[in-house]
Amino acid sequence: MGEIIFLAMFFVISIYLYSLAGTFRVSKMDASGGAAMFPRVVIVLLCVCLVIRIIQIIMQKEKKKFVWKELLEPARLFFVLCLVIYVVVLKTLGYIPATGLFLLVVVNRLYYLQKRNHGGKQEILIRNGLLIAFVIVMHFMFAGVLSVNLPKGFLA
Amino acid sequence: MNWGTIFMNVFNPLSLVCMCIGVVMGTIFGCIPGLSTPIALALVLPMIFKMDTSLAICLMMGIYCGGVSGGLVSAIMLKIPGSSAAVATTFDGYPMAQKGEGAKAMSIGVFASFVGGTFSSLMLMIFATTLAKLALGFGPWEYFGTALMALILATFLMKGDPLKGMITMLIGVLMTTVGLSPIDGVATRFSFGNVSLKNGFDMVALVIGVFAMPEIVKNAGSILKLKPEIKLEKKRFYTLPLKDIKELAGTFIRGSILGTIVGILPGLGGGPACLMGYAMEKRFSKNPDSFGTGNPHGIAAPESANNATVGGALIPMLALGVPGDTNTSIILGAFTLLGISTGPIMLQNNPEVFRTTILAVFVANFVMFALQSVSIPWLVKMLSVPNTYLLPIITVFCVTGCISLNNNVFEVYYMLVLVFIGYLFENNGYPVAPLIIGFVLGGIIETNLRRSITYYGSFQSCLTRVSIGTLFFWISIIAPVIFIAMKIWKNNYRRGKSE
Repeated sequence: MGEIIFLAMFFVISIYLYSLAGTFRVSKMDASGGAAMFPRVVIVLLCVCLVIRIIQIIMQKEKKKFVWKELLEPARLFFVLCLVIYVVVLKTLGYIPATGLFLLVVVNRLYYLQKRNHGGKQEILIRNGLLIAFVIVMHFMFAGVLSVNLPKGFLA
Repeated sequence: MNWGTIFMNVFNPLSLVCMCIGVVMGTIFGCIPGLSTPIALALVLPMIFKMDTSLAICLMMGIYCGGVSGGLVSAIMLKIPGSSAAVATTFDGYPMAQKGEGAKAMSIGVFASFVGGTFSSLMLMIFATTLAKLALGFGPWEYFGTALMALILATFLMKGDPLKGMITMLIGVLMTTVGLSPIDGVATRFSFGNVSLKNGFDMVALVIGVFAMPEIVKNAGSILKLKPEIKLEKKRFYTLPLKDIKELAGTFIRGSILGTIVGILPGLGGGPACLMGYAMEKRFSKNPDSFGTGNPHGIAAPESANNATVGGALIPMLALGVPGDTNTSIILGAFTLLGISTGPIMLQNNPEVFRTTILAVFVANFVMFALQSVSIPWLVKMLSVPNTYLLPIITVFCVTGCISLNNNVFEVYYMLVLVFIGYLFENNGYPVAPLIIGFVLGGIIETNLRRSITYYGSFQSCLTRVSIGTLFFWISIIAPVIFIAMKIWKNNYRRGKSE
């Protein structure tokens, strides 16, 4: 059932996009079929494939499970949630604080989950110090050397 | 064209440093299970368009060669192939390591990779130029036919359900239609008024989103497993004695020829090549029963075959501008980022870049051999680096890379959405590679189709032309029908046999 819902979602989006294709501006000089021609052909083919696949799933005697619950495994879920929060707060907090927090939280938590302890004092200091140094090096490399505008966040 | 410039492009110290960095990076990403060559290539893409063209080429070719070969380390030491291209290496590599012959197994693997890679780069030198010269007369209709055929064959020849491959491929093609319309340039398609979407989706963000990050998320689930300790006999150079080279020479050559041919075919690549090489060698062997128990030929064949796919896969990419797998799709995308037109035009407009690429592949194999021969013990140590550190750091690289594309966090937002889509695809048997190939070729197909219609008046007029484009178009239509018919026939045959 999960796969059918997943594919149906693509089907609905495709139909919506097909209807949008009718609103594209057309150049009077254009003799190539127009901007909507190619997306429409692709959408029709995609919808045909999606329908065939959905029928295939319905007709299947041995139903295969749709794999998505694995995302909820504790370590994976923790990692994914941290990633989502990191991306969401990146612009507001700025690159250095957001990336630093992401690394410190994820690495320390996963370290604890793996070894059931945080390690000795010296180890904690070295680990976190290296992570902060990594963030600063990344910022220097991208913002300084490659002239990338990394988000400055509230620091700006 | 100046040959001196081409040699300087590859042999200047900075290019060689980039190549070494590429080989090391590729080997590390190839040897650590869960990481892969496309992830390594995707990670360097944001930096590539700020680099000099020849340096970028050396870096990418180093990663490509090192990555395909790197999988042998974990395959031999852990029985876990670092990449699909090293699956068959586990069959005899791991038993050899268990017998205390890990160093010998590594030496055979490294040398076989070198022979396979060098042989295929020689083939690349011969055939890419010839094929590109033949294709110089291509018009838009021929380009359309070639790209369409490559896309269809890549989707259908790839491992897995072709229907699922078609779905992901069409989603990839559909994603290319977002943004300003080509040819007419007046319509902004599916951008929903978002200025950032006016130029469409970025290939790097797409590759990171659907390919690299889902792998990281997948590996995050097994992050709590402690890595095993691995022991390997210490040697200064992991090279093969002349006696062994003589004994395995036939195997190296057979594997190299097979790998080059498999590499040229779209959709196959290193994975099937190494399995085919192994199966072929077993058939050639006077002692097939020894395979699987630590036979050196069982390492030499798959390792020479998988590295030979590198040169083979680059032949259609360079000569015709059509990639056959994820690696060549990303490299083709990188050429576009560098502002280089690919395909036969490349030979005409950028002959130096064309030949620099070929020479870089050739030299990268020597660099790979030299570096891997001395760095095996460190690579084995790399296998013990906990994912606790690796995965978050790679994630930061991916996110930073996405921001750097347009100095904007918007790319990170849709990359995050693609991570979930890519994860669900990958874990439910929907191959992601056709999506990437579809994204790379979709724009070429649309632009050339619309140019052809403008030039010849209508699509029907295009079809009546006696041209290689028409032939390729019909192959693209007929090939899926034949594949599906064969699949149904095979299924019926199996069902009949089991009943």
